[in-house]
Order: sequence, then structure tokens, then C-alpha cells
Amino acid sequence: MKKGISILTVFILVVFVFTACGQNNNPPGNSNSTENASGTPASSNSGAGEKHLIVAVDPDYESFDPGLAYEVYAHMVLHSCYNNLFEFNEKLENLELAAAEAYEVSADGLSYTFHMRKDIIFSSGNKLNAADVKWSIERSINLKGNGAFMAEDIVSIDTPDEYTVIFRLGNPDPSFPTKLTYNIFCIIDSKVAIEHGATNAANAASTDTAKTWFDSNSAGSGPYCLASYTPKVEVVLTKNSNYWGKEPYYDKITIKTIPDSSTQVMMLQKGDIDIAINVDAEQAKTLANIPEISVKDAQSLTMSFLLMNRDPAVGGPVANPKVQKAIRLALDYVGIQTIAGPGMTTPLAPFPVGLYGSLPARDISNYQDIEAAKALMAEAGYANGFTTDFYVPTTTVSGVELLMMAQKIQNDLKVIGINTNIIPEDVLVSLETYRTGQQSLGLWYWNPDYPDNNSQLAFLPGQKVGLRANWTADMYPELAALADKAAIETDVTERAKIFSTIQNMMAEESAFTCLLQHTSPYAVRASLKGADYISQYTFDFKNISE
Amino acid sequence: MTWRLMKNNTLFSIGVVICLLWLIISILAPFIVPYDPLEQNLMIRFSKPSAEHWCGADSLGRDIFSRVLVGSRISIGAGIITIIFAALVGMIYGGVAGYAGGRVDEIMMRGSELVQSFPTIILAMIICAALGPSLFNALIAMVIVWWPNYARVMRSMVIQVKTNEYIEASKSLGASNLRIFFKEIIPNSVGSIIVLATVDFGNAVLLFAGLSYLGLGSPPPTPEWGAMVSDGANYFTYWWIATFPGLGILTMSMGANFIGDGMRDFLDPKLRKEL
Repeated sequence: MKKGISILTVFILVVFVFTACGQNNNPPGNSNSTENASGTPASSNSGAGEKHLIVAVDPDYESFDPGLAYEVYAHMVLHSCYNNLFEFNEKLENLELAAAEAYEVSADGLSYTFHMRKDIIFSSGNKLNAADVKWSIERSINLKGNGAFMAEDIVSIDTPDEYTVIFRLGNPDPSFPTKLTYNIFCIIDSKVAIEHGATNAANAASTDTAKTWFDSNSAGSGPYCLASYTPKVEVVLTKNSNYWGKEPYYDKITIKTIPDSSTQVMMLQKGDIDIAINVDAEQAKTLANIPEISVKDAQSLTMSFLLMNRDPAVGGPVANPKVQKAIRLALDYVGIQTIAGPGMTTPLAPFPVGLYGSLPARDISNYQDIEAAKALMAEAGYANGFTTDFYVPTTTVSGVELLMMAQKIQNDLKVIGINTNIIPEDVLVSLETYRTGQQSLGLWYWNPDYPDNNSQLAFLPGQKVGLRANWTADMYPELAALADKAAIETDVTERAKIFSTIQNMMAEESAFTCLLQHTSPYAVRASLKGADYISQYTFDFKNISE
Repeated sequence: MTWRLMKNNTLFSIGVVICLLWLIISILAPFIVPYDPLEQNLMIRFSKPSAEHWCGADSLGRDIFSRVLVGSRISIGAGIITIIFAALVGMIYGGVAGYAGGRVDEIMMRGSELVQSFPTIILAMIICAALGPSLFNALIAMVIVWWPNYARVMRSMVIQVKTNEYIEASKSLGASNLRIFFKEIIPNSVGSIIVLATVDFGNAVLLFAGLSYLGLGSPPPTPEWGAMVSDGANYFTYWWIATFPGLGILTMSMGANFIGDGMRDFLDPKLRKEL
């Protein structure tokens, strides 16, 4: 009898475990999803000659309307469906013309003239011309979506002939070409869009009714077309037969919604998917030994840094520039990178490695110099050290827990006599005192609004982030002057030169110490070629092949 | 009483032994730890339990064994302080309510029920979050959520005691209310409060561990058991980071509960006959 009960128990357990696993495999969905799941081949290329790429992602998107979407993974989808005037080719350093074949900038930097390519046709068969560019961008501006701020400098858009577009800006903005890569500047087939209720009128925000259509259709000239979008299940892209460029390798791309990273990893191991976008550092370690899978580091533009307040009323002893220099020298950057995980770098100044104009990362192997730091402390009059508050938001940046990093920094600073009281605060609470410049010492992170070093000029004295450290322009006038110069310099080589000077100056004298430029791992089937991460698009699907 | 109980109740004896052990450890911790609990050594981060590091090392290469030992001081201290202050507040509040009776009693008890109507941990979290995370604020939050129990017990004891004849006698001798309250009522009702406090100690340790797990205890790098478990939860493959502080929480609250159960059995008149 007893035996019978135990066998029964085991049986129930086994059944339970199996049903639990089964539920995990299915996307969180409904009856529709089972149909979709069985329709997709288990292995990528088992379909009848149809090449099929399957990607798993923990999605952030809710719309694929180019004028409204602002999410990271939405841009991945939109970049495959639409063309922009500019695009990044494989690297953020390679900003190239896409839908235009030439452009000129006026001497005052206020007007950009684009000469469009004449061979582009939309997936509908319509020709892409200057009117479409004007219409699409005006629509994005008037929809007033989250990304519309990137177009706020545009005063007018003119189309003198069918293949010429002239933008007039209110202020000179050398980062304008970079901004043009964003999805709000995607070129839409205006004829098709208007048929589905889209409008570029000034009151588009209330009269445009095309969002629902754009959510599961596309009207672009990119290598793929949006075939379907089932929220919480998948996005399907199919090859655009009218594509004007080099034919992409895959016929069909499915982007599956798999919020759980361990499920993504499991599916990749089983061969159900080709790319797992969201992998955590611990899982990456276990995948590293599997020959069929290659784990890569996605170099993000997110940086974490130490803010050292320059206002003696707020920072106390920390406000002394010599102390700040000592802090920079006292930190064990090698150890910080070890804690954060593989693939991280430490930029010289708050200009992320990989952007045009950024210098290579700091050589951290022997940068730490405790003796020099102690000497600086003595020079500043704090040979016996001091105690200060250290504000840390309780959050995780690309998998790195800031509180963990703060404890390492606390440990390093103790060596030169600086005792820190860590004050953990909820991000939303801490942001308040950070933004108003009330933190003596703070551990923070930054992600550029757009991948151009102009967005990093905020860290210079007198600028937005600089002022959060109460670092005013008169504290370092030479550097502050360079910020103004860099912001409007349109000559590419001259710009790079200014940025290089700025970074060299800030590497030694600054209210900020860069700690890390973050990376996060992703995993792909080892036989995939060109599955390289690029932070603007995540992946550029047209480059991926076998 | 303790001896008679220990002779007849094994669980109670186990509880006493565990709690005594932790008490001794917490007193001696700074002298017996093999390593500085705050010392970081990145060379040994995530190292497994070994002869040098009995419980392994955490993500910053700190010795977990030393941290668990030192952490016991905070847990025991937090438990004791919470119970003492909650009992004091509760005794006075409940005593006044019970002694005054009538409308005052009604109003005061509705006040304590208001606090009790929230789930303990949620209310403590809200208070902690509002005051900002620190050890002191966590203790305040715990006292605030903990006293109503004592107030209720105290009130019922006082209502029972105040009908006794010796109270009537004091009254007729002209003793003031204050004198009767402190000289007669409190001493005669305090017994059950002490029992409740013993039973409660384990729960207080658990609640504190819960708050510190959520990052609402003292800020890092203080070695708090709850915070250490939460740290370990981020590194699931390195089981030892969360396991050993977890065992600390488990044994201490279990020991305290054994003692509490033993005492309740002892004081329960029905079970008492069997002893």
C-alpha cells in the first residue's frame, strides 16, 4: 500500500514537471500562438528551401509606426523595413549615406542639401522621391512622439526638385546626420500611408489614424517588409522583393517574444532559435563551452561614472580638484572591470569608445597609483583623510549592480583615507538630488540620447551634467570654450581634433571619473555570419547570413 | 522553570542550546572571526567553501564565514531591540486602554487595529522606504508594526487584573490611578508579555532579515544576513553565498521558536498537567 502511494506520488510529480516544462516552451500566448508555433520549422533551414532566421528577444516595443516608436528593439525592426538618409554601416564609426547619394552643408552649418538616389523603389512599387522624405519627416514632427525632440532644430524642409531635399536648421548641429539615422526619419511611402489614414498635417497628433496599420504593416524601401505582428508572440518580416540594394540572405525573419533569458538560452541550445538577444553574464559562461554556439559581447554606449561635486558647500573636501584627482588615481579599475564581467572597458573621459571622435579606452593596467594619490591628498590638506557621503541608486546597469560596484569603490577609497558612507536610494529618489547637484559623491550611469559625441558634451563644465557636479564654466574656461566650439563645428576632421583635445583634458582634470563602458552578452548559432551587434539597431538583419 | 522544561521538552532544550550558541557567538564575533568581514580580495571571489574559507567567498572576495558570524550581532541586536521597545510601547498603550476602559479603550484599540490591518512586512517596507534605508529606520519601522500585539495582550490582562479585590482595596485606601497602574496592574500583568516576547523574538529576526533582504536595512557593506542572501540570489550558481547566511536566519529563528513553543506549552494549563 505504502509503495503504491509513493509510486503514485512520483508519477504525479513527473507529470507535473513535464507540464510545467511544456508551458515554458510555448510563448506566453493563446490558441493563436500554437498555430504559429507549429507553423515555424524547428530548425532554421528545414523549410522548403526557404531561409528562415529566428530571433528571441525580451521586447520593449509596442508600435512599429516609424513616427511614434522610440524603443531600442522597435528600431531593429524598423531599420530592416525602411531607409533613412543616413545609416550606420556595421559600426557606429561608419556613418554613411543611405537613401541619398550626396549631400552638402552650408558654410554656416544651417542648411543641409541632400541629393537623393534615383533607383529606390518602395515595397509597393512606388518610386521614392524627395516629396516622400519631406512628408515622412513632417509627419514624425507633427505626431509629437517620444523621438520627435531629435527633429526640433528643423525649421523647414524644402524640395526644389523631385530628387533634392533641403533642411534648414535653427542652430548649427553637426550631429544632425547622426540624428537622421533614427526611425523618426525613416522614409515612408507617402501614397500608401495616406491611403491608410496617415497625414503630415500640423494636427497629425490627433488626426493621424495610421498607427494600427503601421503596427502590422510597413511602407518602406528596406530589405524586409513587416508581414505580421502578434503582440506577446512574434514579429514576422519577409523579404522585400522590390528591394533596390543587395538581396538579403534570409527570406523570412521571425522575432519571437521570449521575455525569460534562461528560456532564450534553452531554445538556442535546442536549435529552436538562431539568436538569443538577452543573455545574462552567468548564462554566457555556461554557453561558452558549447561549440555550436558563440557568445559575443554587445558593446553598449552606456557608461557608469563617479560624480565628484565641485561645490565646497555640497562636496566638502571632495570639491577640491586635487582630491578629485587623487580619487581618480586611487581606484582599482582592473578590479572594477573584474567585478563587472568580461568585455567591459574604461573610457578615458565620458566619450564612449566606438563613437566617431572618441579616443581609445584608458590603459588601466598600471593607471592606479596609490602613492601619487596619497601625495595629492596631503597636498590638498587631507593627509589624515575625511569622511563623505556616497550616493548610490539601487539599480542594475547592464547586469552590473551599482551597489556592488560602490562597495568596491568604498574599499579603494579607504586606502587613501577617504571613508564613504554609502547611501543607497531608489533611482527615482536619487535622480532628484543628482539632477539638482546636491550629491557630494555619486555613482551614476549615462546613455547617450543619440550615438554622437555631441550628446556627451553635456559632461563639460557649465553644461547639463557638468552642472550636476556644480562644475561651472569659469572653473575651467578653456574646456568650456571647447564645448561650444565642438557643438557647432561641422568639419569632420576638425571636429575629431577638438574632441580629442577635450578627452585628453578631461582624462586628468574633471569632476567625473569614468568607471565602465558596459557590455552585455548575446548568443548566436556559431555558423551565422554578420550577426554583429550595433547599438543603434541591435542587429542589421540584411548583413546576417550563414 | 527552565530546568523542568528542558528535562521534559527536547525541542525546548534544542532551542535554548541554539540561542545560547548564537548569543555567545554574537558577543565574541569580533574576536573569533578568521578574517575581517569587510576585507575584499578579488583574487578569491566566488571561491568555494574550503579549509581557508569555511563558507567560501562572495562576489567581492569577502569571507562569508566571518560575515555570517559578525552578522549575527546585528540580527540578534535588532530582534532584541525591536521586542523590547515594541513591548514597552504596547504595554503602556494597552495598559492605559484597558485600565481606562469605556470610550477611551474603544478609540485606542481601534488605533492599534488600524496598524494591524496592514500586512506586517508591507507596512514595515512602506515606513522604511519613506524614512530611507538605515538600520535605525528599519528598527523604527519594526517597532511601529510590532507593538499592537503587546497592546492587545496587555489590555486583556489589565481588564482581568483590575477586577481583583486588591485593586479595590488600594482604591479605597485612596491610591491614585497612576500609583495603582504602575504598582499593582503592571507588575501583575507583565508575565504574559514576557512569554509573548520570547515567542516573538524569532519572528522579529525573520522580519528584520526580510527588510534587509529588500535593501531596507543598514547600507552596504554591513554584513547583514538578509542582505547577504539577496546578494547570493544574484549569483545562483554560487550556492554558498546565500546558503550560509540563510542557515543563520533559519537556525536562529527556529531556535527562538522552539523556546517560544516550549514556554507556551508550559504555561498552557491543559498541557501543564502532563509535565
